[in-house]
Amino acid sequence: MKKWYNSDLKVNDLIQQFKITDPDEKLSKENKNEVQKLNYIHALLTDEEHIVFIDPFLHTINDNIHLFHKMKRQLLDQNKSLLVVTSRLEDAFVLQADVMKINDEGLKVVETTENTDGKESLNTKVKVKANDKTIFVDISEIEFLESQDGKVYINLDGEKFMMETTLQNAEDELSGHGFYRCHRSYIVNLHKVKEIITWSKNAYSVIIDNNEESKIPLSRAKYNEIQERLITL
Amino acid sequence: MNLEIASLIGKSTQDKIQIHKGESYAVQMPYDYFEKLTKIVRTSDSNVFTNDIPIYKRITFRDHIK
Repeated sequence: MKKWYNSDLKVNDLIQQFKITDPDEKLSKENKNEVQKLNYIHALLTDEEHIVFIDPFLHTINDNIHLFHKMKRQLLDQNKSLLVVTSRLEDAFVLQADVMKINDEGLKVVETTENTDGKESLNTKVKVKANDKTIFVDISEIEFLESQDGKVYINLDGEKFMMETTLQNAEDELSGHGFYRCHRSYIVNLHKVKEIITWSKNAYSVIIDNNEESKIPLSRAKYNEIQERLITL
Repeated sequence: MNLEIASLIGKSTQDKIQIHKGESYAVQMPYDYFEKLTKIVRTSDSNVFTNDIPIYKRITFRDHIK
């Protein structure tokens, strides 16, 4: 048995658990997805008590996110702490439902209580702000909406525009167009949903069918309802 | 371990995250804070993992784990 940082974990077990496809291959930058797994393994092997991951879900394939959750469970079993820091709010929810947010005003807890209501609208476009211009976007092209720092942003085709409304009003306006409030801070266009992934017992994501495969947080309480909505869409 | 928010954002605040063993924490923050956060937590009993993983091309995956 080989040891690293005096750990008792066995190398072959770790290779198998974290699905290193060719353990005797030399590392290269082209092999990013495999190299990423080394971080997960090293986090388990280190004797430090506190583990910090910086933006671990950015450009990360779903298989590795599942492995990350496996690592998380083992770290907590080892009585280590895990701090995951992300630049995107939706990525923080990939780890768990309880999320904090830091900005230049300080620290706050992101609320996750639910508040749904809706009425239909016949509008086919919404008005958004792009720098100093006002543009009109086809509702059917919107992938998802998010609320951050009291502002609402719509996302479509890799672009983000500010919408001068509240998320509640946006929900009222868009619910008749197949949009669904999947989280306190997010609304998704159900027509753009590719799949739903369960990362752990309290962390779910809606995957958007775009180039980035955006991962939108899904509240636990909405897990069943969104599936019914997708079936009857 | 306590993460004092004032030292991260450079403004006076009593906010802090108390990191307890056996617990996980998810925090969203602007990218600009990452470098400072890394310096702060590395001074405590922490190991920081980033996407910028050092790669030693002559060494195999197995050897990286050993």
